[in-house]
Amino acid sequence: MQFQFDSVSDLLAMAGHGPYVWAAYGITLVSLLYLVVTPLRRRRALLAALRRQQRMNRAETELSKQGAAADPAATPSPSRDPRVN
Amino acid sequence: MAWQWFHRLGSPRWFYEKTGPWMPWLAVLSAVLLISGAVWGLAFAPADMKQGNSYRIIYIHVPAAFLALAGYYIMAISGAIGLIWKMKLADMVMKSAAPIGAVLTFVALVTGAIWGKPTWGTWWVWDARITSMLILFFLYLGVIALQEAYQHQDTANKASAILALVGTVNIPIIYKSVDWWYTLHQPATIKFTSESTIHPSMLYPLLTMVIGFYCFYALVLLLRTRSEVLEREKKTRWVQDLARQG
Amino acid sequence: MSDIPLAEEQLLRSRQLVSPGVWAGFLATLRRDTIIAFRHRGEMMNPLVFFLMVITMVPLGISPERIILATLAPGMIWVVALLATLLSLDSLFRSDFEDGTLEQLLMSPQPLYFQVLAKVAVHWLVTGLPLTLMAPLLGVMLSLPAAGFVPLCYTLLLGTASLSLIGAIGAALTVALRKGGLLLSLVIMPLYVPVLIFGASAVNNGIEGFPIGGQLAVLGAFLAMAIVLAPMAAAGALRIGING
Repeated sequence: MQFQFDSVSDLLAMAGHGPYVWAAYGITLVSLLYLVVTPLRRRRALLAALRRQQRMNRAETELSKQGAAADPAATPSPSRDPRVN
Repeated sequence: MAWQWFHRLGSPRWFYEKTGPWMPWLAVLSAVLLISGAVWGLAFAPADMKQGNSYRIIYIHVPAAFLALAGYYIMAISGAIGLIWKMKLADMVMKSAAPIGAVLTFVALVTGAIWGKPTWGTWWVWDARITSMLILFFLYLGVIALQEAYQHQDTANKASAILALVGTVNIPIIYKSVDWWYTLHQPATIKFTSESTIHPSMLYPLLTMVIGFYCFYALVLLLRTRSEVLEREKKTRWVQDLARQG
Repeated sequence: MSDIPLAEEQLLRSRQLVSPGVWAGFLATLRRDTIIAFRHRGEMMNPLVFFLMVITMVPLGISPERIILATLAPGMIWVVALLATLLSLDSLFRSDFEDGTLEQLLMSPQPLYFQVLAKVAVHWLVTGLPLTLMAPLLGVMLSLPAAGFVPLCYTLLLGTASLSLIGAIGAALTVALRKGGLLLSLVIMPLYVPVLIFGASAVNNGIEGFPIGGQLAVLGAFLAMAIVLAPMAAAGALRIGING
């Protein structure tokens, strides 16, 4: 096993076939990266959305608690925690 | 007891937590295999006597084509499991497998076309294998389109599982018919049957790439299925806890 | 609208007779669908008009020269027959789905397999068969060589039946969708490839004077397989589309 080309520029040119070979490898690389990146991005977006919702729920329960403390007669708002399945 | 793992597989949470630790290993393994195989094939494998350097596309074309076909069967089998045992996880695997297979089929088609230009002097040849690959691509697109068309996720999964199964029955018939059609119209100038006598120094990088593509396929399939699991289970406590942890 | 009394009639019958046999159920659906099809004669004509119109486009788009048309004719007629079948398939289960007849069929004690088979048989009777009968006329228009006419009719006769059966799977898969038409074509067309290859090549073989028995046998095998498997898949798809 040995390096088949005289220089790096030789490797890039591939005796005239360079554009074809490198284009094929480039398109493959982009496609494979697309396959990896899309599920990762989707996972991150989903978790971020869930966190946002949790923060909102927490703020809502805080508010209703404060409201309940200030006015004992007020009925506590029903919990809208999505964790309750 | 022997079937316990099978029933456990029905639990998306178990699947998610079990496969979590595998992911970095699988990622490293497929990256190492793919990069070393590509470098080996691009720079260290000898040039082909007839085709020169353009043959180096084989190192991505052939593995992609392998996985494109194997991916259809993986999709159809998980679809069948989902239909028969009503296993949610199998449905998710099927849904995740469709776009991966379509992308790999696309890669095989495009690299084949690019390879064809210096070899045959034209981007597109109605060769039996290319044509079958194109029809496989259409089959994938059909499954994806059907999956997208249904609002209700469960119905979408069942419908596309049936379509995938029908496709599985048809794939051998389609391949045989296209083969037969090609022998009928085969132009005498194009002969391309030298792959069986591939030299070991060219074969080993190819094998590395094939194994690398299999690992990559497993990695991506798991990634997609895992994010699908999270999406479907987002109302449950364990996913909420997962989100809270960051 | 005119099919509602028929559906009621069928329902009444199924109440009177406790459980009619499989054959009786098959015949009842066959009869009902045939009557409905013949009441909508205009709709029946549509695939034929489409067939004729597209074939007219060929010389306009390519060339009116006889030699060119003759080489194109077998494949062109086959491809257009395939498209005409595809376009007509969307309505195979549609009206039954919309007026609830399909649910009745699903709930009936009859195996759904034979009900689907009866529906497909009627579909073939009102599209595949007329397309086959019309094909020689279009062959004349495209100056198909004389030796090609008999193979064209034989292959279309066998082939359109397979096309209807395979297409029924797509029609069943998309029946619950409001815009199923284009999707149906996308989903089903790749599955039509073998039928098209053998059908068109048999006609070409016939023109060149070779025997076409082999291709006809293969088309027959496709048809036999489609009769066994396609209604099964279509029945499964219908259950999914209706029950969710």
